[in-house]
Amino acid sequence: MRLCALLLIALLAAAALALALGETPLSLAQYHAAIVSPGSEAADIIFGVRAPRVGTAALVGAALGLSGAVMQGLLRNPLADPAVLGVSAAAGLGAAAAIAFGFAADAGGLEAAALAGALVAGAVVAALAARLREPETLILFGVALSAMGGALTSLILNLSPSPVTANDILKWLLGSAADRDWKDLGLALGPMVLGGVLCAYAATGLTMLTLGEETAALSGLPMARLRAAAVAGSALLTGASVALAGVVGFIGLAAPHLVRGSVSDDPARTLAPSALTGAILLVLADLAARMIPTAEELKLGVVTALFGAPVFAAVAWRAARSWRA
Amino acid sequence: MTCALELSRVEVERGGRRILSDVSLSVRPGEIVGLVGPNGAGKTTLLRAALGLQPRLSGEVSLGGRRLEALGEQERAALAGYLPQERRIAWNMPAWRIVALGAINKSPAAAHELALAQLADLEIESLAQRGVLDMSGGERGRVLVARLLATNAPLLIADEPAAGLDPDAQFLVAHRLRRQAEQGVAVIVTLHDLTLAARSCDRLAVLQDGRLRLCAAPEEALAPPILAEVFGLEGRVVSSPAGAVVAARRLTGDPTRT
Repeated sequence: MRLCALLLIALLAAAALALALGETPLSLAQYHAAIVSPGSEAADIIFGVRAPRVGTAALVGAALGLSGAVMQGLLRNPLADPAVLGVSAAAGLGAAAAIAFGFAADAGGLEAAALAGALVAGAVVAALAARLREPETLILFGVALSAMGGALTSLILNLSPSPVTANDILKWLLGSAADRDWKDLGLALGPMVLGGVLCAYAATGLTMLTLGEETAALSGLPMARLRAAAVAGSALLTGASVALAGVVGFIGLAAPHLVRGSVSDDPARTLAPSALTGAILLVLADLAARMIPTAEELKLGVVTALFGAPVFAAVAWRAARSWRA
Repeated sequence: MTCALELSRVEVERGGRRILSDVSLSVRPGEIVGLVGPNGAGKTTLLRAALGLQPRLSGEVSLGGRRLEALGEQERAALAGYLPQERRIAWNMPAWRIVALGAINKSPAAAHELALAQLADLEIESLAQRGVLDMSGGERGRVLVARLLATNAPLLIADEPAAGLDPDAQFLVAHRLRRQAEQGVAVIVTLHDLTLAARSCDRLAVLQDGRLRLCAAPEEALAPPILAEVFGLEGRVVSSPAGAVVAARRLTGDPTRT
């Protein structure tokens, strides 16, 4: 796959750039020191602070890009992404509840709550998907689920007794790759790898769904299993992402859209390039969040939404073509 | 000889309404059965019930002599290929890839080769690389017929394969289905064009309000009383140098209808 090789090179370049640049400007001598003496201050900045951050952004971006590509293939809709099915909102609700009820103080408490939220939403979506043949209906339920998750999160914010708690929740909902260490990354990696494997398993089914539910059902592929794998896989990817970096929107929507033309629209072949593109986008978005000089550092979700909303409009405009009879 | 498709006393209800009542029909290898009837007679429901896409209230269906319920997904796909009426394709994939999806059990190279051959057979080889959403509806319809033929199934079930096609392409598709039948494939198609049905099918199954009125050779199935009672048409099958033609007009028994 030449496209994947090119995207991998681009990702490595973006990561190198994100390691080299940051709020603290470094001199050439300091870059040299960082490489030759591991104990130096520059080495600490680059490998202790920036590297886990770049790693977090890349991992979360890849997970969201892949999750979005799977959702779009499954629902045969270029506007689908984890947010549409309510998975992001449920994960955000889990995180908010953990902060409000004090579980977040325990190690891994917040992460587990976010993952649990995503999995519950994923299970609901999977159960509905098994009973509903038409993807449009599933999107409607997704919107309802998303609204419910958002409403409950707002309720927690509303009833939150201390402004500190409310602020903590709000920060989480805005998304960030800052202050993560390698252990946090390691925790998220397990569910993400499992999710990725499930998505890869579902790939041929996604391509077959291009012809519609009935043709896919009679294609000889085990569609019920493949559909369940796709929903579970993307829920795991989304939940682990929210657990690691909060709610980050638009990557799942934009990444598949950017690569689709290069793989002649085949949903299965969109998966790997979408993951790589999502990683590149989020590494660059995080770099932008760090570099744009503001008094308070920009949150990752804010940056992706600022760039993502116009992309959403562009996708909607182009999608109108495939919705013509 | 084992029937490729056999429906026995099939009943279907949907939304509390009876769609099919006591329908028994069989399709043998090597024959083309045309399913005709006015809108809402239950043609599509019959095809979907034959494939297990539509739950039945009662009755039995067997494919290739085996009960539908006993078949796994792969076995069912190996016994029947289906072209649904819905022609929407979600993504703008090149035509040859869409056709190749009919042959997923083949290697990618073999599926590619088969897809190009099927497109050439339907005289649209020049469209092989074009995205299916960048085509006219009729061209897309031909691509989907090519995908159906690529399944190589011993039973082909096609819902309105001629819909939206120009006259030449309609005859071309009918001819390709006939060639399949000559090779021992069983074919069942729904058609609205009665002339096309009369010319291209061995037997016509006439559906009226969910009941099978009769299943017979075209001249008998489209005899004047049937045309009048089922289709509300006054006319008959006449022979022409090119083949049978259904010459008919709307019944004028009611003065408000012309």
